[in-house]
Amino acid sequence: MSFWQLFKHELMLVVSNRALMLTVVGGLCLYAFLYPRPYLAQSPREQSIVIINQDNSAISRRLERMVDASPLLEVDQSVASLEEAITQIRDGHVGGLLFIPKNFYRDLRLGSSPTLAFAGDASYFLIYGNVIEGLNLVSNDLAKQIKLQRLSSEGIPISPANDNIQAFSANNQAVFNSHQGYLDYVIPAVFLIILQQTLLIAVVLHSCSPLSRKSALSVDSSVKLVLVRTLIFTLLYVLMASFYQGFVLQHYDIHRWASAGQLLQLQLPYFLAIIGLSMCVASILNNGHNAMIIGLLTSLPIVFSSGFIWPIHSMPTMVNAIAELIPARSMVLANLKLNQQGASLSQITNHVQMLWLLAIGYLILGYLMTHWRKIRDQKLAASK
Amino acid sequence: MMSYSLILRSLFNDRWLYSLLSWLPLVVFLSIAAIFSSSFARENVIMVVDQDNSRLSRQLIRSYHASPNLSVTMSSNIQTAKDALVKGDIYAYVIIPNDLERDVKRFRSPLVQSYYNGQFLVIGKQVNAALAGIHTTINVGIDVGRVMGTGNTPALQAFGSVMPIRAQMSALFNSNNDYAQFILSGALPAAWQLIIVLSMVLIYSKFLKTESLENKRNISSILRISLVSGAMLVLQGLVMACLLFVYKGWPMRGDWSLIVFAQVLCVMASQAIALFLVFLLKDRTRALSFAAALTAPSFAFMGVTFPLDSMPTFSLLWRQLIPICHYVDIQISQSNHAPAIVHDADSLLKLAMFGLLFLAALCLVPQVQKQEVQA
Repeated sequence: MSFWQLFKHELMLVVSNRALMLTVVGGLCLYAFLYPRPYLAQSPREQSIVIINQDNSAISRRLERMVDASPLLEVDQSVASLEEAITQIRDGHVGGLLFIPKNFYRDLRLGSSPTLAFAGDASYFLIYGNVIEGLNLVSNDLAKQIKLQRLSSEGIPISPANDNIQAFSANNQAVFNSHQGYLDYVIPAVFLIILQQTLLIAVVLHSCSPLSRKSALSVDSSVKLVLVRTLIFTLLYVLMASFYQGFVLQHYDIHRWASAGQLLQLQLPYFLAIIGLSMCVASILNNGHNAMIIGLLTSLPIVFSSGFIWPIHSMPTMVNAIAELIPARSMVLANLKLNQQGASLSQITNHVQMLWLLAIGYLILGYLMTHWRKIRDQKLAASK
Repeated sequence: MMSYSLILRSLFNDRWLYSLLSWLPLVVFLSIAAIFSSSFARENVIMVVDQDNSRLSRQLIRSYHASPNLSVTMSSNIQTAKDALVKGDIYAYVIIPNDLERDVKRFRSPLVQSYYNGQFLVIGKQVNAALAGIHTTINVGIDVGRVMGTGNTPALQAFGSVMPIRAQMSALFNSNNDYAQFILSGALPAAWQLIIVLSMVLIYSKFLKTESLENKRNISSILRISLVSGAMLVLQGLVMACLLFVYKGWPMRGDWSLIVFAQVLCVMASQAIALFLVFLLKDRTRALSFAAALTAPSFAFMGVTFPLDSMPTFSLLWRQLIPICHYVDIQISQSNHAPAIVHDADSLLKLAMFGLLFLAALCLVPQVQKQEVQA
């Protein structure tokens, strides 16, 4: 069989493999819709908190109103006691509490720095973070107002910008995903991992199907077979990747910096590496459906170790050594930098090199193992 | 009817089932736990561009160094810092302006500007919080010194005028703000959910395929198979809970028996889904695909990382179909909040409702037989 005859034959096998098409087309479309659903709001809504006001002065009531006006918080209802408030948090009705101590106003006037107590449910990090951030902003605001009042009552002129009430001002600004959207944080990375896992399943499902095994036996050279399969799946996945990284990201309005051509320069080694790796897996498996078990059970460890959730330098060496061998690690980091942070390709050469290294290594290994499997299958067929 | 020993033997003869029911879950749980084994993201690299080179700027840099959350590199050039941020070599950079110290002395309130990477949300927020804390502390220090320097104001009063309000923050139910405790409470159950549905789809398909005896497919055989495999899966759940609450030692304030009960219900609910898919689709690979479609994104729908009250209605409905979401609701509320059982009755009831699906799946059994007879 010539290269193109084999190409046509294998392509027919891929397209007519219903389980494979269900995974690739059905699975990818479903996940493109399903996975971003929970995060559509981008940021958590206002967290409700309870306020225990034991002071009941004009200023503490002002503080209550300021909390309610905060874009991060809303006041649930005034609860009288701390115990009641804790119960409210326990039952999940509110995310946190603000405790204004007795004599808050008096201590403020005396200049003895009364202490406000903030508490948040740290079972949920995002809720806790927002409650604490919201309360901090409000109390800093109130502190500023008080300082200004004092300065003006002492007859000290206040500049219009109010900036002389602190020795220096500090401004921390988030860049890339500057609105801190959760969708922008999770989706670009997770999509790449979904592509990897489904491609692994697809290649293994194809290679292990009885028809493909038969086709593999009749092909004169394993090199040709590996090249044909690599070509088919690379084309298929560049298509699926343009759907994900183009249409779907645009649909969710996720900011992109890189051009399709730049992305292709990452996609190419990425898919080659995965295809090579999948051929290795396929040659030791007897049943294609086992690829689903591998693909699914490795998905969570791969997401968590890819480096976008937890910093790489905080992971144990052993974990890093394994994660580096998985194409998704380099791909996720390279893509976030290129597409989300506006890096140029020359700034991420380390990742690109790693991807090509994995691609070449896994393709050679994939070829060797496919060949080994073919010889084994031939012997088995002959012994029958 | 199949005997228990026959069921056990055929489960353990299958290499994949044996792995799924014995050592594989432990490997998955431990590898996820290993990723977060440091519990805190410390020593995040930042870059400081010190254009001032004064006593005050060096004090700032020393404070950055002293923070366990930060690790400091220096640069003389803003462009270098920008590039390093884009390349992901650092998580933030701080620009200490020219004449910082002089401007502070002249009450000009100069600006210390920092930029942090918002794409890496979790780490970015930590770095931001660390920087903000340091800046406030140093600011207060300078201001207190100023007020005391102007006259004979005692220290406490000086502090009061600089920092009129103090704040004390408490992280309830996770007092160390331990990231591993937070994320593993959802991640391990999510992995367990995958193991349960995958194993059960394989197991039911295997027994559906066993051709030798017609009566192997009868309902009591299915119940026996579910019982044997369910017991092993609940055991895995117990190992998972022990990993969290005994080995890691994170607090378990609630009722252990309720956790176990919820795990039993969760396994049964997942069995109902697996049985339904296997009998409905009559194809192992397709049943696996559908089971995967439902349960693979379960972590996203749990509401651990992103709060439930901010999810759209569709997501809230979809998560009702994923048993582990109800289990995690119970596990978090029991381990952290330890409410009365009434609070979790709702989630328990929802898990029990999957029993109806189990009945529906059993109704599909005779159809399979009829079709085969026709064939």
